Amino acid sequence: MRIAVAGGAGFLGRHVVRRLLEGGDEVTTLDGRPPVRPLPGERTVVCDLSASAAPAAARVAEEVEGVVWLAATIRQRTRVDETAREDLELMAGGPVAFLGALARPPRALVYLSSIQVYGAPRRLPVEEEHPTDPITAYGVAKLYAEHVLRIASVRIGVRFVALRPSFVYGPGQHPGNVIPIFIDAVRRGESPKIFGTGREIRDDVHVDDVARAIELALRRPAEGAFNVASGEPHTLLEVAEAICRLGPPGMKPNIVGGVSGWLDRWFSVDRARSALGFEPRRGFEEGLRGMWAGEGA
Amino acid sequence: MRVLVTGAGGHLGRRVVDRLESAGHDVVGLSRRPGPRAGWIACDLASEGDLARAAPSWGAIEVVAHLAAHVPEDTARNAPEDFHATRRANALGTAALLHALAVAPELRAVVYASTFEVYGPPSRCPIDEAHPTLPQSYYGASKLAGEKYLSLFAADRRLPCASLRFPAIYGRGDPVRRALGNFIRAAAAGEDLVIHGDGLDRRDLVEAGDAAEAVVLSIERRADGVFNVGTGRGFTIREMAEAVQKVGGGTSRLVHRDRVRPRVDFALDASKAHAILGWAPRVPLEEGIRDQLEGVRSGAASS
Repeated sequence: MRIAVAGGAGFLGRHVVRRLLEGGDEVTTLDGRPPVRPLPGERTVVCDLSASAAPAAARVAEEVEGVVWLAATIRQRTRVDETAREDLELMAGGPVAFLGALARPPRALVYLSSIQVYGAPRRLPVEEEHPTDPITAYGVAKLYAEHVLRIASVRIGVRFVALRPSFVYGPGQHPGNVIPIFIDAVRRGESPKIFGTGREIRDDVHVDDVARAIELALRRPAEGAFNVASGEPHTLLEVAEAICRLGPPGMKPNIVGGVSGWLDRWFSVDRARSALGFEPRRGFEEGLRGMWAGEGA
Repeated sequence: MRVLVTGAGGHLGRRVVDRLESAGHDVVGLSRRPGPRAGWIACDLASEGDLARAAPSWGAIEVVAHLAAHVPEDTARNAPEDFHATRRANALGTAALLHALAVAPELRAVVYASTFEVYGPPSRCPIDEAHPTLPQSYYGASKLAGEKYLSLFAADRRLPCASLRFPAIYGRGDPVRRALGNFIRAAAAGEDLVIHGDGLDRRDLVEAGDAAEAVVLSIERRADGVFNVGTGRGFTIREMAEAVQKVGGGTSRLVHRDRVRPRVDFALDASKAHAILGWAPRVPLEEGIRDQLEGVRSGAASS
């Protein structure tokens, strides 16, 4: 398949592009910056993907059969400020304008949404029918994008899938996230610090599993919104302990205490299982071992 | 109380302004085009320059009634230009307004005019506020985004903020081309009233004065959360046509043509608005139609 990956130079993008190339697809990466390490066979176009520029990007992409939209801002503001404009233009305006400007409609559009569309979970595990009440401006833009892309896809005749990944971890992840922070601490011989009680429930999904879910969404005849998660929730203490076990013997997390404000999160993947044939494969311990060993992004 | 009303020159806005002023409030009107009234501020909310220029002249705003919106002529058509216009005016415009209000220290409440189109296909009728939201129009999606931004704002500022989900708002000057307005225009022109299908589809309607009353009550009661504003049962298309025919008193006949869209029954359960806002529709359908028809006949709504 000829596939355009918008935002293909980012953390998840690198894993997606590599997987698609390995599967024999022709991949065009569209991104505002070039990939640090281009992959063999990858075609790269550096371009602006916001609403006003996306039509030009669509013309450069030429005829594609699949579109994967990963391009996103990464900020998580709980207030409405001037950044809402960029969020909307890149995450909602961009993909709709891109889709509309393609010379021929693709067969499939896979949009990387987020579990942020749900907001504070009212029940666990969260399934796709859970109410959507985002508590971040990022979540509002992603939710809006899901709606307008669903409408645009019906209009144009494109199969549309929105994937809602939970917390994505793996090689190449931004160092400011909790798993890289813990790994870095243990590497330096320090105890990972837990702010809160350690009983906070999280659902970390390996980037390989998310990339595979994207590939499945491109190929399987499914439509709609799907959680992409580990199916295996952990407490923050369990995460820290698993990382400690990779370090020197006797390493223990340091529970600092305090109020973390964390919202317990755990997501059902039943719908992705039945409609996409998705099964989380990277076990947590194994995924962490790979990161610890510095496996390639 | 000093109240900022966006969309002050609109179908709903004009009535909200009148009611607020007769209740003795100090109204600052914002409208996209200059000039509906002296002292009002011309401001396109999605324009960073406009908003930056307008905000300092608002003064110490205590309440905001955010009624400004872009409504496509036919929301079901979902034309590409409708996406861009609604994203800009409704999603971005609301976010930009709320960002500008971050520096309004006197602010005590916000009321936002939303729409039944946030719901999408009804899984029950009447629809209550807990019904899932799966908008089928770019317009509905953009108004839902505005609601969500308002929720963030309410949590961040710890202020009561209300989203009022209105059905079609009719009344004198209604500019939108949909069932009731089309019947009224046809009756005024002495033409037949055309019903597609059997006319048993149910739609909800609120008269513009009643809609304005819901906004004013929300302001006075410091309403917080999402509220349906509707009749709870709606009217069938046939009931609307018959009411127009009766009020019109002319020669117009009811004519049935083939159905163009699948049958959908739609009404908003407003029991929450009734309980918390003390709101109920007051204007009987025939009275509202009479007023709108007079407006059309006198050329007030030739648009």
